[in-house]
Amino acid sequence: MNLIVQSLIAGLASGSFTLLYNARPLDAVLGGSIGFIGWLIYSLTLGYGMVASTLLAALAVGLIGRILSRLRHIPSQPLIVGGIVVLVPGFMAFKAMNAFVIGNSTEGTTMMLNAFLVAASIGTGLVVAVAITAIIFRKK
Amino acid sequence: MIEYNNLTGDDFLAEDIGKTLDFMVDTAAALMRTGSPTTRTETWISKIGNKLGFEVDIAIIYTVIYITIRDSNGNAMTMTKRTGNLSSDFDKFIKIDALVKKFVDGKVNLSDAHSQLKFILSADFSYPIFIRLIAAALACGGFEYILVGGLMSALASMVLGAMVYAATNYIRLLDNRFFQQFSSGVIIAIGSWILMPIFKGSALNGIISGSIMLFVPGLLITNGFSEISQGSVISGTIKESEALALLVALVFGISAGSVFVGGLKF
Repeated sequence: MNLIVQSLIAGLASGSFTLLYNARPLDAVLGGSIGFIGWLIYSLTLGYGMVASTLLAALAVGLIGRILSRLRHIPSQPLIVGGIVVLVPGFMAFKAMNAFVIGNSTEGTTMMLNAFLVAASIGTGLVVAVAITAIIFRKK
Repeated sequence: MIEYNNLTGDDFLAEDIGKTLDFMVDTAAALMRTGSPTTRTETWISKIGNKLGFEVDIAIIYTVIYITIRDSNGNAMTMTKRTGNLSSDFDKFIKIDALVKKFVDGKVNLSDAHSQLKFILSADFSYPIFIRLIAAALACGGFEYILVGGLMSALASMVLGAMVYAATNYIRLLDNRFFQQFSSGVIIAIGSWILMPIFKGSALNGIISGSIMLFVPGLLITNGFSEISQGSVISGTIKESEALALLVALVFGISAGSVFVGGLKF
């Protein structure tokens, strides 16, 4: 139950975030829904490690975003941004930089490396999703 | 000679190479300014040129666009354009993308497409300020709740996030992103110190984590990596560097702000 509530809040936050970038209401709702699914998958697979769970969530977000954008005849970027904004390691990168500023370089290095790995896993998930959807739609 | 206004891909004449290049450069700049990924922009611009029978070489290196087109007689022309600050406006991006698609499908001629592009760019489709503030508040509060937790901290983040968003987006003292990030950091540090006793039970760590979410360049870091893995190595690397600079500015701002309030421990 808590997981569903958290995912709903994640969806609300990501939908609101896309509104700030001037997404139309329907795109914001779709972006929020993809954010909901992304956070749900991330939370359910967190046991496999943060990088693996982010990769799976980003892959799902990329696939759903690309398929929906294809159906709506719009670019996938506005929908995918809504989905990945809850996964991006912004807060982690902030904490890493803050650790450097207060003189805790060891903690900062570890956190920055983690943030980079999470960003890389999101990028990889999205690129794999692009490749998969390109193959699917080429066959049709 | 066929008039410029009646041009479509099927009856193009080489004399209009300059007008074509103008349209291509303007379209590329518009796409980049509204949040299009580099690889997508390069693909679309190549399709526009190919539709009109040109060979196209395009390189977009972050804010600089280089396009060379060559006709069947070997006449070539190159144009370079700087796009300035890149941001995201999904509504305009979708409209420009649809316009380019229409042009490539031959449903609109070059002249009409160019004037439609100028119309889309000049129009203002943004939401009223109160909707933007509510969206900023919901985003900050939501991110705080899922990343750190705590209802009171989330509420405080909503208030502070909306205030900082308003301050940095509607009171533009300087058109400098680094300064904007730095001043956002200062306001967040002081604001969280003021709001913590008002929202009983909130934590400094939570309030700051929620309110910074609109300013941390997490999306830029991820987009940079995506571009590197899709072959736009230089563009992606520059995005990573910019993200680092923006992050440094934000953290320095929070550090500077915490000095004003006697130091923050979070």
